[in-house]
Amino acid sequence: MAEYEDKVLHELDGIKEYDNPMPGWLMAIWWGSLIFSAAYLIFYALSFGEGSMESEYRAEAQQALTEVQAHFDANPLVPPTPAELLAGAKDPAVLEKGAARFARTCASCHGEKAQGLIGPNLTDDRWIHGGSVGQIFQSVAKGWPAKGMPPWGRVVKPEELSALVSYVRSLQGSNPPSAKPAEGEPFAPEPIPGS
Amino acid sequence: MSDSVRYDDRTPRLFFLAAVVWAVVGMLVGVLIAAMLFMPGLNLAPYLTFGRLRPLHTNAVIFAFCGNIIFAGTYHSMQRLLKTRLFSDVLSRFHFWGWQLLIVGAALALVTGTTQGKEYAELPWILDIVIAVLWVTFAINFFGTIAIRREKHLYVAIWFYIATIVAVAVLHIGNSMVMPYSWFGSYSAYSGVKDALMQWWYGHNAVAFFLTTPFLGLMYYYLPKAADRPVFSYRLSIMHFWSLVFVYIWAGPHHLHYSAVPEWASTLGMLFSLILWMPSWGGMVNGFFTLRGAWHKLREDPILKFMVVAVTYYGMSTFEGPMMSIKSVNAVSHFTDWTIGHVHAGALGWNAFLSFGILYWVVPRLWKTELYSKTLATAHFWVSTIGLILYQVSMWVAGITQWGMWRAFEPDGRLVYPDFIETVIRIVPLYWVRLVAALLFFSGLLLLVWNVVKTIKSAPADYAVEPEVSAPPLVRDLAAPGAVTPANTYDHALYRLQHSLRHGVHRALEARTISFTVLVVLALAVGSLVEAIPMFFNKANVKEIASVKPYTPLEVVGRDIYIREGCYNCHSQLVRPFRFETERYGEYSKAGEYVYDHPFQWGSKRTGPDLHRVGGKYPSLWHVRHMARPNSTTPGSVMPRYPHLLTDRFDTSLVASKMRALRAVGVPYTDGDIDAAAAAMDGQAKAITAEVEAQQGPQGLADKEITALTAYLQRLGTDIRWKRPPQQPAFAPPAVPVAAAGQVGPAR
Repeated sequence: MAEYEDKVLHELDGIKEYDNPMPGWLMAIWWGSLIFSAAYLIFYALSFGEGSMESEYRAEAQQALTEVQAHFDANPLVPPTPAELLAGAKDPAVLEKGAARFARTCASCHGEKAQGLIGPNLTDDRWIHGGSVGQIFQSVAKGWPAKGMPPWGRVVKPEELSALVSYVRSLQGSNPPSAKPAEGEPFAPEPIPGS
Repeated sequence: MSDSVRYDDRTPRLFFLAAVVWAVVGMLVGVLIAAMLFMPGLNLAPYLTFGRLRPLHTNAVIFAFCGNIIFAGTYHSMQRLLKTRLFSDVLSRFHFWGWQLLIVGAALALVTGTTQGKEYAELPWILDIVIAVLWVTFAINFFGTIAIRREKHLYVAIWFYIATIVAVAVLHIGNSMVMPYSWFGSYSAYSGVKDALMQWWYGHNAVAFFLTTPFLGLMYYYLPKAADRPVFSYRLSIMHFWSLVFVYIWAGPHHLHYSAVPEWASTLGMLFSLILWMPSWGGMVNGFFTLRGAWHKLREDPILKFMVVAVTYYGMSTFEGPMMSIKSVNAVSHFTDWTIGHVHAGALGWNAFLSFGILYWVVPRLWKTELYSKTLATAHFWVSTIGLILYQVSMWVAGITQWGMWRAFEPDGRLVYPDFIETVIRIVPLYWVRLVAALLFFSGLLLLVWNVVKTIKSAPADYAVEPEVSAPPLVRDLAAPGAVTPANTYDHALYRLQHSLRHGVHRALEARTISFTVLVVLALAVGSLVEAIPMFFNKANVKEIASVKPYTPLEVVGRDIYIREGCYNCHSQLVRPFRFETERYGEYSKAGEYVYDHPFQWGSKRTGPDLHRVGGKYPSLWHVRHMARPNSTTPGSVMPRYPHLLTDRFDTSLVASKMRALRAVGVPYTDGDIDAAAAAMDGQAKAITAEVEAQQGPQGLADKEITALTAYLQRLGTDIRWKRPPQQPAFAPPAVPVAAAGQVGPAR
């Protein structure tokens, strides 16, 4: 630390004031921040309309799109076949995964036992948007936003989405307590192979 | 005029005691809400919920605890620095009791949900007027004391007090412009983006002029006193005082990066925050360097320990602040617990620690006795310091963790944590650490209370006898030695000018209170006006959107419930233009969407998810069930239950006055709209309850508050059309089995 002269300038109520110079490093911060800010302001003013947060956002979204597309080009999204979805309905590992996802994502509207709550009952033999596993998969993936069903294809992992549909198929005819009255068209469930 | 004065020490004694009482209250509420954040069962709706108690905590610690410390320290130190008694005993008493009553009124208002819905400016308009009256009382008493001073020059502490009094008055009046619709209810005169700018001009400068400048003034008096060392540099005092006053006022918009506020404003906010680094650190340097030659005293003296940590934390916070104002850093810290950590580093580390140091120094002197126990004070210091560090570190980690989870993407473009609740549950362990930290800090405070009580009990019987100090009255008119010329000649005036400038311009200014104060006002005005005027007069700053319409009467009532319950304390209404936000919430927010929002409700912290695009996201029954029992729709939710919303009827009697008040501040309601309000409310409420009942929800909610709130929530963010940018390839459907196809009804 620099040596200071410590010359007393004033005294008030027993408090003395020295007249020491301001530390050089502190003044460096001052001038540095001023110069930086002036330069930034000029740079900002010259790039007015460009490089703003909107265009940064557009660039970010565009880059993400390219990356995601490249990902899917390398790892094509293969939708499950109905046979796979039906086979999953008797595979304990798949059902466990589907049940866990159902509890986190679906139960708040369809009820813990899929008995129907805000959304329709998923255990009965009537379906508003079709009851084949393929149609259920579509409803879950794309949603019915106008009716309050969000599209989950962007949110839930593909394999979890399949497990979810298998799980829902497995609940057919489970007759949970306090079920919501059936809505939609009748649909005979597709047979689960081997059961 | 007598050659001696008696100081009024009763007034500072009362204010110091009140500060201790409100510190206990305010920090106790703080501990409670720290626990509520992860133990939602502690919320007792309707009065004791997080949304109502958080404003109570902030108001109590800032305006009750710190406010009383400011008044106490100012009144105590200024008498000694100006060698005179306080201007008026009557005003002092009125100020004291008025302020305490105001605090009680404020607490009642906040727990009953009577709020303006703007952070740190929640109090209803009628209490805002009381604040203004009391602040003017303080100002008259303060400037009156200066007018009767017996010391010619104003010491640096007084400069900071002047800046405080002037700036807080301007900020309070500027941000409290409202149109009342009842004795306790009102709407902000500003809408949306303008309200946001005014609010953070106020909010940031409340930090500047309520928590920084007055405390710097206190530091300049009590630190050299406690250390018994001279102030390091008078030049530095001048430099950092004026730069602080000029620069601070510009920095507010740094709270609004990546928001709908125009970018030029938040850019100015950022740059002036960076420039603010030196002016802030000037105070720290003057504090630290004043201790040169006194560092050895630190080992023994708990008072200096508190003061040194206070100055350290002041330095750390005023470094962290400018860093957080940089756009890219703010993108991380904003809406997370990092901000909470930053605020508490300043509030606990700087304001509370300096206050504790002052209390330990001043209480024995004001009661003419010795401190009861130095050991207790040292214990207080260590317990609170550990609490302080734990608090800050836990909030840093929580903030960065949450930000990292919010923005995490899978390679296929999905969010890794699409459920917001996952990001909440992850930081619960850190909330535990924070609760422990808060308890440590609070137990330290209880040690102080014990120490202060025992000290006061040991006061001699004659402690209240006012000290008499010799102080000859100021000789105002300086005649040249031997001069017989009339005082109004040119030569004499020149002589006086030369005389007053003998020690420099600033020294001359220190003897001229009015000029000094006018310069402070000018310094404050520049930044305020440069940022505010374009916002109000250049329409390009808020681009109009034709599809954005005023709220319906039912939505207005619902919005008032949203404000009353303090939803903005945990939920933002501002989607920033980041991919991770638009993917989670939807299209980013536009300035034109907020033009009918009086006040704006952007919030500053996301304990829960953003709500600007919540309209239409869920069925109405989801909201009904969620408010009654948040866990039923969001397992693990930490939100309080609001069962009273399903049983209380919404208020219809004030709707016409509310709409008229809104019209007065610019919402284009016609007389026809107002006349038809009752019918419109009825119709909208029935439509919502029809949907709820069709989904087997509870019956008979058409006149209940939940329906009005749901109407508002379902409206949010729906005035513009937007769709998500494409992200993943269409998920081709599995072929529909031929056998099954025939049985399927037509797809909708």
